[in-house]
This record gives sequence, structure tokens and C-alpha cells, in this order.
Amino acid sequence: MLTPQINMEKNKLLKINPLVQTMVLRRLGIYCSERLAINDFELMKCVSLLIEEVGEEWLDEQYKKRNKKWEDIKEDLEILKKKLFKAKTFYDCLADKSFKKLNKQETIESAILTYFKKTASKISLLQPVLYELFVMIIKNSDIQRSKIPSDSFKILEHMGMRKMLMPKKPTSNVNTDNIVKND
Amino acid sequence: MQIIKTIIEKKMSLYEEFMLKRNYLRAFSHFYSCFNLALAILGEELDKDKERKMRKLWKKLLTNEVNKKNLTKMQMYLEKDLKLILKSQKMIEEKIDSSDYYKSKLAEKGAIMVVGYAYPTN
Repeated sequence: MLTPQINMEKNKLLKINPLVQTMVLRRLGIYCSERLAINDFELMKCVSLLIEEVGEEWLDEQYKKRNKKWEDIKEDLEILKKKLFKAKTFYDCLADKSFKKLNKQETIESAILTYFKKTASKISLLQPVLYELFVMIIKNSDIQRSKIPSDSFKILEHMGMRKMLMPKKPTSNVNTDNIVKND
Repeated sequence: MQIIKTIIEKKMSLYEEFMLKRNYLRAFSHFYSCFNLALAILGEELDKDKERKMRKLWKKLLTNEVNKKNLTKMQMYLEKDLKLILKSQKMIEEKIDSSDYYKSKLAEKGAIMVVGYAYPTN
């Protein structure tokens, strides 16, 4: 009784490769829990992944229905992408602790900070083009039903992927090594 | 739509956290990513005059120090834009409730169904 209806609804939605889905969901988790990086940077990466998966022909059709040109939107996205990458390069230096230790001179750090603020100020808070595209793809694809895994919310909070993927083994007092000590 | 709902909820909680810590710039960026999502969901077009004003204000906040004058201006925008975010949340919830994927028809009153079946063991 219920399954045909769900199947009908599923057929309308675009199918997204499970590998791309996991990549996008992980990025979205980072985007939501973002404390250390630039806000729209992760979303831009998600959108570029989804564009490749969905295909530009489909997007062209969708924007024609809305009386918009996909090529104009693509240009806007390219400009935004350049600005985001530029701001990210300066921000990485500021966020990197080892960089701070290497360059103890405060002048270098303050110079990078001013460059970062200059580049970041060119990125507008309101990004209707990027978000409209993101919502449009999500509304019309099967990714809308998947959930963001709770692990991906904590990637940046734990300062890196390595700590999340390879947790430390619990230390025990019992010596399991069969090493003979030569006194 | 569930995925967008969780994004907005997470972002709003981060916005509140940063506002409490007086880390205003980060708080504003989180809030306006929610606002952008809300705009896209509702399908409303952005006022160009507002976009221009916001761009100028954001530039001032980033390049100059955070002034009392600029902050009060931003607070005024925040109050107005919060209404749109709440409106979009309502719309998302309505869509989730109406879709058959999240609410099965088997759960309706008077429905009879087989919960489980144990295979006979020899």
C-alpha cells in the first residue's frame, strides 16, 4: 500500500552517488560546526561537488524555468570562489599554530591579519546565488533524506581529521609484550 | 528538507553561543548563512538596496573596529531578518509533516499490520 507511493516520489528525485553523498555530508558537518575556517568556504566545496554530480545540463534547464541564465550564475560562482580561496590562504596562516611559533614577530601576523580582513570584506554576507543553487539541488535530489553524521560535526572541534579517525588506544598497566629484559 | 532544518538549527545555536561570548563577527556570519538559506527556501528575492547597505556595513565592521554605531545598525537588521528565518522553519516543518516519507500511513488509526514474523525452527 505504502511502497508504490514512496517509489513514485523517489523516481522524481535525482540520484546522487553514495560516495559523493558521504563527502558532501561530511563537508556539511564541518560547515555547520565551523569555528576555525571561513563560513561559506565549505559550502562552496559541497556545491561544486553536487554540480559535477547533477550535471550542468540539468541546471541549465532548471534556471531556464526561472528565467535565469546558468552561465551568468556560473560566472558569479567563479568570482566568489576566487575570493573565498584568497581569504582562506590568509586565514590558514592565522589559524596555524606552528606558523605563529615560527614567526614570533608580531608585525608579520598583523600584516597577514590586515590582508585577511581586506580580502574577507570583499565577500558579502548575503550570497543569494550560492544558497539558491544549494537549496535547489538538495530539494530535487535524494540527499535531502540523508542525515549528517554526528562525527562530522566534531571534526573541527577536535582539531583535525586524524584524531577523529584514529583514536588513542586505552593504556593499561598489564604488560602484554613478550620482551625478555637482559639485566 | 530534514538536512536543511538541521543546518539552520546548528547555525542558530552557534550564533547564540558566539553572541554570548561577544564574538560578534562570527555570530553575524552564522546568522546570515541561516538567513540566506531561509531566503532560498521561501523563494524570495533579495532587495538590492538592502544588499548594498549590508555589504557596506560588513566591510566597515571587518576593516574598522567594531563600533557601537555599527553594532546597533546590525542589531536592527538581525531583528527583522530573524522573522524570515522563523517563517522558513515553519515551512520546512509543514513540508516534512506532509510528506509520506517521514510519516507512514501504516501508523494511522485502525490500520492492521504484521509487526514481525518468526521463522519456524526445526
